[in-house]
Order: sequence, then structure tokens, then C-alpha cells
Amino acid sequence: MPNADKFEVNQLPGLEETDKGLAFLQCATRHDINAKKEFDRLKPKLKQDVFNRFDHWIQGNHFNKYFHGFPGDPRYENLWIFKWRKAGTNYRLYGFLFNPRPVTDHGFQACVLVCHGQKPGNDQHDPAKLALAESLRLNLDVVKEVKKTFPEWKR
Amino acid sequence: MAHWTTENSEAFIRRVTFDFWTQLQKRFDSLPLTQLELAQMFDVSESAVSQSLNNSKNPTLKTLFNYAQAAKLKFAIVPYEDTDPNRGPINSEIFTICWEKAGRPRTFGQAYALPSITSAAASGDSLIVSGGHAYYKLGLDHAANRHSDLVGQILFFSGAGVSVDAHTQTAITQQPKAA
Repeated sequence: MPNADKFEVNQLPGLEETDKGLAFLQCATRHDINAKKEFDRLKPKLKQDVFNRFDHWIQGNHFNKYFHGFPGDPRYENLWIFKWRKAGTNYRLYGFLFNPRPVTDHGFQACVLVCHGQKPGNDQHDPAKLALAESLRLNLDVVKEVKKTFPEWKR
Repeated sequence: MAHWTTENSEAFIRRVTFDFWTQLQKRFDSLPLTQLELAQMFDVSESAVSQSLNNSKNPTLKTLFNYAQAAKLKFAIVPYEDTDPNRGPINSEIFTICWEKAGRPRTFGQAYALPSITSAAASGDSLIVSGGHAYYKLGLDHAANRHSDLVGQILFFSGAGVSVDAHTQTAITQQPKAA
């Protein structure tokens, strides 16, 4: 039976593209792919601070309190999260890193955000959300959409 | 597409204060200073400190000063020209990095003596940089592969006397400018 899920990868308007670009994966038939939906629901000030985190990553800054990957863990080495804490609850946007321009922009890195998670109290990541991001990173339909959103440069 | 901070002044200010608090949070992480101690220092609640560091309030200059001082830092308000109105603000930490890499100039004379990256030109196997009273000749063998570090390397040539690359410790040939 063919896969009925239709994926879209949409860049977030208002962000710069440097050697990094950021986009959301969206799929109308998959409720677990909810990063964009939850991001859109954030209150304006909090949304601005998540934008700020995106900006910092895009500009090449490093600060584990805002975002990080999982170096040294082979299960998650291509995954990425943005995070914030509000009123005792830890929030996460889970995604994956991918270079959709291997020919014309070897150093480019796209972050594709997949799903949202929140946990009160502790600062642990949700293995199920990480597994979801990893499975979608390997999904050929998703890869095709990422490459469509971040195409190779025309010579 | 215009950057999100061009939407309104609140968005721009929120980004600038976010950059400030991020720099301070990084600094506090390296100091043996807890949020409770900060709260006691400023005579406020610990949650008020947390809110400030998390950019939840619109800070006054006095608040910024107090926190910077607690972090043993100073701060500057830096207006600058950016010819692309659709881009967001330059992160304040980038200004800090540039100032430190430039040898922390304290006077206009020291600042103006720094060569500009825009005056650098490649010539054969070398990079020629104009700086103050001399041209500096930098071998491309150690410059070519670290383009992003180029500004840092070049900015270490302060005035007429310095002729050692700070990263590689290799000598840089200095040639006086023609009168």
C-alpha cells in the first residue's frame, strides 16, 4: 500500500539564511509532526525568544541552554533540538540536521524541525521524539522535500 | 524577506536584550555565582533574577549595568550602519569577539591604526594588507584554509611593529609604504 502521507518542508519567514537554514516539516495526516503547529501557538514574547534562539544558531553561536545536538551518541548524531524553560516546564523542538546541497554548498546545514515536546521538572529529552525525528530524517519523501526547499545553487 | 526584528521596535529591542542576557548567562556559567546570590546582591527575589536572565522583562539601563557589574563586565551601546535594512541586528557577542581579537583598542588612534579587511588584496602567493604605516605580507599557505579566521589574523597587526601571526606564530613580512 503506498504511503499516503504528504510532507511539506517550509522555511520560517523572517529568518536569515547563512551557511545554515531552518525549516519546519509539516504533514496534514500526521499529528505527531507538530513542531510548526506548536510554534505558531506560542505567545508573541515567547515566540520572539524562540526566534532569538533560531537566530543565534543561524549565526553560528553556541549555547547548550538554547540548542544542541548529540555528539558522541551514534543514535542521535544527526538530530538537533531547540529548548526553553518556562514556569518550571522544559520545552523542546526536535529536529534533524541535513545538507541538501552537497554539490554546490558543501558546508550548508539545514535544520528541519519535526515535533514539539514538553516535560515538567526534569531536563530529559524524550527518546520517542528523538526516534521520530531520526525516522523522518531517513524518510526519502521527507529528504526530497528538504531538497526542494533548499535546492542546489544554479551554476 | 525582511528579518523578523524589522516587524516593530519591540521585536528589535527584544532581540538586542536577548543577546545581552545570553552573553551574561554565559559569563555567569563561568563564575561561582548563583541566582540566589545575585538576588541577595540586588535585593530582589530569585525568580526576579531568573526572569531577567530569561529576558522576560524589559530591562532598564540601570538593570543592565547592575547585572553586567555583577558579572564583572562592562557594556556599550553601539550604533552602527548596516546597509541591508532587511537583516537583523549583529549579535553583541560578535562586537565583543572583534574587539578582543583587535587587541582591545581603547583609543581612536589604536582603532584607526587597525588595518581593514577590505584593504587586503591577494597577490600571487601572498595576501597584502594595508595597515597604518606599512603593508603586511601574509603567506597564503596558512591563510587560505582558514578564511573565517582571516579577520582575526589580520587584526592582530597593530601599527607598524607587529609582525607575528597570533595563530600560527609565523613571521609576516612588513614592507614600508612608499612616501
